[in-house]
Amino acid sequence: MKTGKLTLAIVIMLSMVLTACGNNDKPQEPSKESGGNAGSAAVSDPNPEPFGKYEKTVEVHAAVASEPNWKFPEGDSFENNAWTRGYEQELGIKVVYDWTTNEGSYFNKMNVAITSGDLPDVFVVNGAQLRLLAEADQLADLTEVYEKYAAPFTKELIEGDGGLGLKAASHGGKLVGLPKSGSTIYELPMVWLRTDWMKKLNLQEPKTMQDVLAIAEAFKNGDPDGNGKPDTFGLPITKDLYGGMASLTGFANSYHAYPQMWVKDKDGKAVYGSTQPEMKATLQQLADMYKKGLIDPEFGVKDAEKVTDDFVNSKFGLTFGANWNPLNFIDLKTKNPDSDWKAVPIVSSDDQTALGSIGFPATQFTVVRKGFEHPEAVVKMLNFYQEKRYGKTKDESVYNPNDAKGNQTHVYTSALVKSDKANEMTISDLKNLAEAVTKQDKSILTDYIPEYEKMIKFKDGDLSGWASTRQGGPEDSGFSILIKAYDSSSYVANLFGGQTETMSAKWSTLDKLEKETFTKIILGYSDISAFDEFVEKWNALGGKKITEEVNRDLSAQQE
Amino acid sequence: MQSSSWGRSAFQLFNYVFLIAMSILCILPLVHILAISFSSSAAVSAGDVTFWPVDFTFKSYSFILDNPKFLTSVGITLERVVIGTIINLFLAVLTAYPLSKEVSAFRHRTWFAWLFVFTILFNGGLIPWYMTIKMTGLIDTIWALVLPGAVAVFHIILLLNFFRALPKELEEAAFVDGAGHWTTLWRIMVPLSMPAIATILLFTLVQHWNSWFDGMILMNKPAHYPLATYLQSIIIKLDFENLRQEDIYLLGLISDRTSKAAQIFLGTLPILLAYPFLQKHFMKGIVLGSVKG
Repeated sequence: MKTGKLTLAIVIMLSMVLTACGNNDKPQEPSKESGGNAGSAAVSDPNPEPFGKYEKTVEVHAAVASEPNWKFPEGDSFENNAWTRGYEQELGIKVVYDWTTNEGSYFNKMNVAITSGDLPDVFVVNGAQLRLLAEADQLADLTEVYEKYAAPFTKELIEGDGGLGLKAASHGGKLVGLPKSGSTIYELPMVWLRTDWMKKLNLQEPKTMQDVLAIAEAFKNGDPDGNGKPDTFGLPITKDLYGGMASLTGFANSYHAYPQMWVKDKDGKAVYGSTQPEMKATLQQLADMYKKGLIDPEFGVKDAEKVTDDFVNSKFGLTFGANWNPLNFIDLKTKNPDSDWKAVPIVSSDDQTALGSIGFPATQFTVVRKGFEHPEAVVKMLNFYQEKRYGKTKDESVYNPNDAKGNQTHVYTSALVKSDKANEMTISDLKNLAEAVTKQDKSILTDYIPEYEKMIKFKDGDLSGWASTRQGGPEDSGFSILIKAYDSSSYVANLFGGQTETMSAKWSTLDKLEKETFTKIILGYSDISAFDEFVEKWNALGGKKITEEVNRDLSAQQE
Repeated sequence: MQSSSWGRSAFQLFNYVFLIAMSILCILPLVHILAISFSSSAAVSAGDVTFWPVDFTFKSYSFILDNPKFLTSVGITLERVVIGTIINLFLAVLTAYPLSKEVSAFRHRTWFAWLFVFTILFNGGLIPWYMTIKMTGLIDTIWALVLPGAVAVFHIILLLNFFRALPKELEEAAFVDGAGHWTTLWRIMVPLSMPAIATILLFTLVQHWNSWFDGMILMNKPAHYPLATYLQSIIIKLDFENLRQEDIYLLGLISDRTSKAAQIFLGTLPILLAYPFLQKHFMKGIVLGSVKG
């Protein structure tokens, strides 16, 4: 009886493989892979249970980053919380943290652990470390256990990015890690405007880049804060130039430049956005703005934290940044309750739509040491995380609880194996959030409960919910822009998120060269022709080789 | 005559102004931190606080005193400082004494001295250092912070030179009166070398108090971090690039500046207090009048 079933299964699998092979010209990668691997899996274990409990408790030694000022409910800690107890009670997996340290030091310490051959069973690595470990054959092959043990919901979440994360976590055709995916749409740049200043100076919402520049000029020269002193500026920039706060990314996107990421050129080849001619036009514009005094001359020494102080001091009323910027304006709202902000989409400098740039879905990976007896445990823990955080049996009171004072704790960030929702799902959550707030109906929510509660508080006149409302409210908020951009596909995603061999050696030099050159051009120390010299130098110093490697890796993934 | 005294007072004036300016430069940052720690966080992020607290509050300090992690790390640092300093001083004295002898008294002295100096010039690097500590089973214990640096060659050299500068007659007199090496070392040499030992004491103290890197690499749990490592891990610079929805909690860490300032200040305080008491030993005359005639 049993053999009969098995034969049947193999026949079905084989036919699937054959069909997939027949359709080879179509990019049917995932179904082909799952067909092939599930076939071999079915032979060894016809009935893998994604949530099955080990009869004998399996001990997993692990390493992952955690912050020392994370808060937990009374009696709990990073080593002992709802997740570790859940793993043990429901999966029979006992997690022992060999070590943990804050995110800032984690990858340094991981480098020491890797070099001294002192690896835990399950740990988190970045792209460079994944490549290094995979090349040294130190990582367990997860291809089969992923196919066998990943729950359908897990696969839906992980592959929600079109399989990009899994590709980045593969090496030589083998899956060597589980990507820690996330919603990249969250990084989309937008324009934040200070509405009380807009009203005061009688300005209209920008429709084109020229309007944005006019607003910047008005904020510089029109004394928007009404203190009679010319102490405001048009456009904030940080010394790092890019990022989520006072960033150049959104500004460059308006000129169809995509700095710091890999994009397709018109021949379909991957090129580095910072070296493209559109970037030159962007820098030219910025240099002109600097000459007019619209940019803070001290930007070269100010990091995001310092620039946040300037926002609180009412120095800026226009900025390009991410949806969460209002969370950094809370102190401004406390100090100056009349101030207010709204988000508008980035606008274009010409008749083509401006597309916002977003990152690559996975930059960190959960990996398993080669030789560990239960590599499937890591997939089970991932199933468990996604089910309890986002699935049908999710229970926020256990896995995202508040402490005795009603503040959110960090239990939700403390799971060992994490991978969060991809864009599609996040956007639908955000839509539900907006609807729930409009109708004041909590039952519509699919996530974002703390945000919802803060927004309802703000509706009742409590200022502490202001930032969440500007970030997530139904209109003129960061989230509303994300939804619009996603639905109209007004975004460009980074093509490549891994590491190539030349990148590990040369990238920091190239990145430094880029930021230095751009800063000099904006400050007027260098003429705009310095951009062409930069592109030449960039190519000569390894950029050309890296571009070739990126294209090689990308085309290898297509096959 | 007049011009030279004018020149002298000009020089004195300049000297005072210069030294006072230097000390102000050193003190002001600390005053700034102190002012921040007593201010409200809105005033701090608005940049209103310079050297005087705005919206005076004890909130940060009461927050820290409720924070068990800060207190545990202080405890670990104290443990480390006490154990580490005792071991360091003991080993430095024991090593410096034979090395301060003449070659006639200690035949392979030069060879041993170079052996120690060699470790200053060359070291194995991070990975062998880590692996040695790992394989001796010290990882994640207080001994990992204390033992690897227990023999401080620089301190030994300081002390051995000091021993050599002591009049030989003292030692000879002790031997004539029947003292052995052990008695001579502890009853004659060490009491006479108090200024040098105080210097070493201060160096060791400050070094143990301040070092954070070994804590980060060698301790596996943040609960075992010494104070400096703990402070280093909370005073992180945020990387705003690629901030994701899941990382939003990081934003909450920024406006935390007042409590960070309070922790920095409390962290510096003990060592600030220790300085003046040890300082006076540096200045003291050394062996004046011990041998007469």
